[in-house]
Amino acid sequence: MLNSAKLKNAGSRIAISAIALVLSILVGAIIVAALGKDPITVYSALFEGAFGGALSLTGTFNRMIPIVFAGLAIAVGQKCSVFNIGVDGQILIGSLISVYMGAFLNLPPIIHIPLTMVVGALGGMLWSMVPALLNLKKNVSVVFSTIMMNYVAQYLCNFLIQKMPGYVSNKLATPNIQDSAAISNLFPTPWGINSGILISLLAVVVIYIYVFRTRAGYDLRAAGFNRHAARSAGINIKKNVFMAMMVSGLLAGFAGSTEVAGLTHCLVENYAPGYMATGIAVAMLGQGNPFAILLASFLFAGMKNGAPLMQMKTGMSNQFVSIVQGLIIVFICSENFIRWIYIKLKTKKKVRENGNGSN
Amino acid sequence: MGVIEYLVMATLRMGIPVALTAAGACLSERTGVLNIGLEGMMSMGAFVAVAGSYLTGNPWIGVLFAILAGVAMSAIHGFVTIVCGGAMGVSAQALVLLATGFCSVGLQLVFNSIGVSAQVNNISTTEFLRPIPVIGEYLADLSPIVYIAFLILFGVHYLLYKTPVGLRMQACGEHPRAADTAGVNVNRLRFLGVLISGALGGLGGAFLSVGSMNLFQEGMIAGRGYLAVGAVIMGRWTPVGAFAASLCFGFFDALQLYLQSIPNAPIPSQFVQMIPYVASLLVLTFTMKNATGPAASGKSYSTIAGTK
Amino acid sequence: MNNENYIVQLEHITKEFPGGVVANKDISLGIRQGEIHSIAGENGAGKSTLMSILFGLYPQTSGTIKIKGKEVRFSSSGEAISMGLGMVHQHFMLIPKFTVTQNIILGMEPGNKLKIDYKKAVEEVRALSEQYGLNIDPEAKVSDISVPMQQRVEILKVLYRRAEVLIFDEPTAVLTPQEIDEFCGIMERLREQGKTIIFISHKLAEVMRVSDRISVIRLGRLIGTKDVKDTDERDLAMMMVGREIVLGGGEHQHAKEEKTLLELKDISYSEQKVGKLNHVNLGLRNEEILGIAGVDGNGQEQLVDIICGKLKPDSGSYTMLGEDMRGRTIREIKEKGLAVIFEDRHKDGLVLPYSVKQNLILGYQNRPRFLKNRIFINQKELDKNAEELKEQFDIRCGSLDAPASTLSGGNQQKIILARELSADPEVIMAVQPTRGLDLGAIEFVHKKLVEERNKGKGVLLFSLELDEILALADRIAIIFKGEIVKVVENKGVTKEQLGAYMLGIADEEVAQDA
Repeated sequence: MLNSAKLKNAGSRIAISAIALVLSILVGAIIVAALGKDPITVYSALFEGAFGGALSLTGTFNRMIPIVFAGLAIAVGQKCSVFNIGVDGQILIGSLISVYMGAFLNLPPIIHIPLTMVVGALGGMLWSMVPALLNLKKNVSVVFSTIMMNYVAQYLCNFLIQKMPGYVSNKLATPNIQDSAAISNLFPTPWGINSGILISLLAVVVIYIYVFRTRAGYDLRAAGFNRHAARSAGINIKKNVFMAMMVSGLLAGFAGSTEVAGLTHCLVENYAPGYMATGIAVAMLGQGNPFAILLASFLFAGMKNGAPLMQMKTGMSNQFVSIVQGLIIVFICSENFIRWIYIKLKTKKKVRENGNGSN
Repeated sequence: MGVIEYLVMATLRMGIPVALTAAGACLSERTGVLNIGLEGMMSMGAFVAVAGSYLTGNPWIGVLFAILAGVAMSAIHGFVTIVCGGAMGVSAQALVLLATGFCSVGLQLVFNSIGVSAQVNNISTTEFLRPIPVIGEYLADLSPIVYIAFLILFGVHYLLYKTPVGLRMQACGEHPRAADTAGVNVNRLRFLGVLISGALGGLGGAFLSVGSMNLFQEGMIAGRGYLAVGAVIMGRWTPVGAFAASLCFGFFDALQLYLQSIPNAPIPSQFVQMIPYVASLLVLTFTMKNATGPAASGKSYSTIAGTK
Repeated sequence: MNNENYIVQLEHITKEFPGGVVANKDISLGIRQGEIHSIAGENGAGKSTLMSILFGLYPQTSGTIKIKGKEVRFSSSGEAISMGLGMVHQHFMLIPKFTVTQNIILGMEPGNKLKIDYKKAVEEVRALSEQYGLNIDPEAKVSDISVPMQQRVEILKVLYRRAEVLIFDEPTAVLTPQEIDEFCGIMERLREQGKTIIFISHKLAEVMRVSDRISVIRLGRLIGTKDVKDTDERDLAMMMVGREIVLGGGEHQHAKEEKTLLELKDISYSEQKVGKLNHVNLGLRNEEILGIAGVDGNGQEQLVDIICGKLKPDSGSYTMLGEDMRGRTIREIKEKGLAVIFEDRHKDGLVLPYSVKQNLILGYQNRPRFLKNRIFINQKELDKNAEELKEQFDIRCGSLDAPASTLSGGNQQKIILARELSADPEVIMAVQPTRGLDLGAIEFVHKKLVEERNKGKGVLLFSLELDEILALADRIAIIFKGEIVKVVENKGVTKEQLGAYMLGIADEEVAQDA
């Protein structure tokens, strides 16, 4: 299966992501300098907060969990040419439902844990089904409806959290889930990495197999690349688009439910961690490949984890990380330009070499 | 003030920022560039206007800066999508992210605070209109930007339908290759459309911060940039239609504010706050029939990307 | 080259595209003022590239262009237009939502920068239309007018810009024989008014009919330029291909036992209250090629879509191999035994980013052979299938894992043919299967279709090229305004007769013309 054509293709794709990353870091450095700070200090503080030591690394690994799911959610949608930007809302609803499951039921862990996580995930899927149906039946743009649903989810969750029995008013949060629903850490502190990471790894493998090795995945990608040809080949486009939205929503739901079950154990009002934006960034950096998305998630989780330390040490706002994220997306989107410059440089080199040769 | 007066004023205050953005979005889409990232341009506009007003004491300078900020942001979007042929939806999300980042960093830098800026000079009234009998009171209580917005609407409409540039822009959005062979510089006109949408988005954001309030708060745009995109679809891609649809959304927004001000309202405040979003979703769902935009909207025409 | 009245001179034009493709190799030719000069060559020979360079769409790699003796280098079509060149494209560059006038004035609007003077525009267009006898309504919307009308709008566009040299790119591809007559008349009128015409085509009959001189291009090189009286079709064909070409189907056999494979009875279909198909009756037998002839836009598209299942007819019955196909999904109809070669291979036939291997199972990925445990794709069988088909159909590609987009048009069509024919269908529907292919590839496609017919299959051939239908079909059905107006045996019927049926002229009158 590995041959030179495939290797060459993979090589150039890795190069694009790497170049985009480097460019973003450079531009970020320029911005830092423009704000009167030393880029090297800022980036080292960021690095330290991300990867420097057991506590930092643990934090990074834990932050990775919802980001991996969000990235997979976006990527699956993109495979079918659907841009599901309702992931934030789907994560919220998934979190909320898993709190309901986790806090108000009393079951042995062996049932309680999967129930909490899966039903939570289904909540996310349900939330993505509304825009999916509106698109299917009424041709409403998915981009628009998912965004509206995000805002609706925000307000709905705030309302339901406040009305939840056991509402903790000084935390503005729901009650905690029962211990029987919580998933533990893998190792004792300071390496308290949550077992949710294993679930996210499993998701990466499952999604990879689904998208690239199954017939359903073949149909999905064909529909994403060329709707007309896929339809002519007998593939049901509407069904595939709907499936993509559902799987995407399910993954987003898992982002919420694994975070609740493993890390936060409750849901606070106005919770807006911005996993979707990061999910888009990692999906793009990973160019739709689940394993690459895993790596990219590690990187971004690191950035998010290191940001507070960076802010504390250098005074640089931790939203700086959002800027770097945005830049990465911009550069990946401009990948055609990067390729074009590369080809131009290559032909210039060739012309120069030929010129020298003939002399 | 009676309910009706309140609602009318609030509709204008809430709707005009969306309407300005929608008029720009309409122009941009007509030339073929989807700009879903206007939320980001509005944010930048809102923040920069406040920062400008703070630093110079003059809110109009702030507004000018806001327009420039919007143009700068949309230039990035333009470069990525028009020149490089990148996906228009994704690039837009990047811009929203960048805007959030810049606004936060900016807040810290300029105001040394997190989340909210200091209060600044604003332009929420048009005093010279006050002497007008009967309606003078109400007219004066609106920012001059409201009146500018109506002028801009007229300008955009005229540009699109009466001028040669407008005809060519429409051609770029319908059939860029045909326009190219007729000697029209497709990408240049598309860039123009995007920059105008950025400028108007920045202006719309500025209105929200210095035109109806006097500060900047993170998240104050609250999805209005996206509502503008929906308004374009509802308005069937005409500037007047988009403007009108935006004012509709403004009405829902106003309604939500009004209901929140009633003590002991039967509806919980969160549901009231949902109204603009649910309402726009419903309206769009039921008016989606036969909604066809410019034929080449969303498709890049780039030599580099090979889509020429 | 001496400057004997040359209005356009191309000297040593070479064009190399990134990726290494050399489309034009050192071409030098001169166009005389006031002549009709044809540039003939197969699809892919390089004639369109040459004209695109002349028209400023992209620059040449080396060589010079002279207009009226002056050297020029265009960086846009706008510049070419201002030097008096005009191009009437094969695929019309018209904006459907705009009116005729708007399309014509685009880029050169009368009035000033602040306001278009539409009144003046309409007057000017009307005057120009009358001057050249083109009969156009300036205020009609382009989406509402017929195809020959649209072509005239294209011509007006070029005349409005005061073009001296008009370049026509494959103009007769979309016209019936009668419309081609009218078109030739228009060319005459243009010449009378002093215009110079460059006529790009691969249709040798027409080239012989209209030209003063003909230049033949093959594989990027100019083979030669001849006066029309010094050559004929056979000579031109040899120059174009370098060898004798015999197109066609070989012998027409008759089936031993006849059975109807596919039958449409009384099929009607309308779209947004406009009738597209009107009580269509059609039957395809085994071991035959049934050609469907007709001018583009008479219902072929809708008929194809109904047969493959993309559209549901409003009324009538559709059976294949005895089973009712109305209301079945595209997949069900496919699995029953229908293979389709669609007109637009990039749109309907291939998923270009997928590899050659992956495209070779497109539509057949549900077959047990290609599945493992019914869920996973059987990679080994995929590879084996690709190797076999590459061999059988001579698909030329770098690697079977390369994306299908990297193959030439002819080889892409081979992928489609290989895939569809190896699936052993009962009925094959081929829609414009040789569009955009060079003669070698056309030969191949024709050969394969005839092979299938000889194996006993039924082939439904939709084509806009009467030559192709006459060469391959056993029976010919003519479609006009959504109805099958006539079905004839392909024995001695002429192009003119077919052309007449295609325009809805009744039997008696046709017989008189013949």
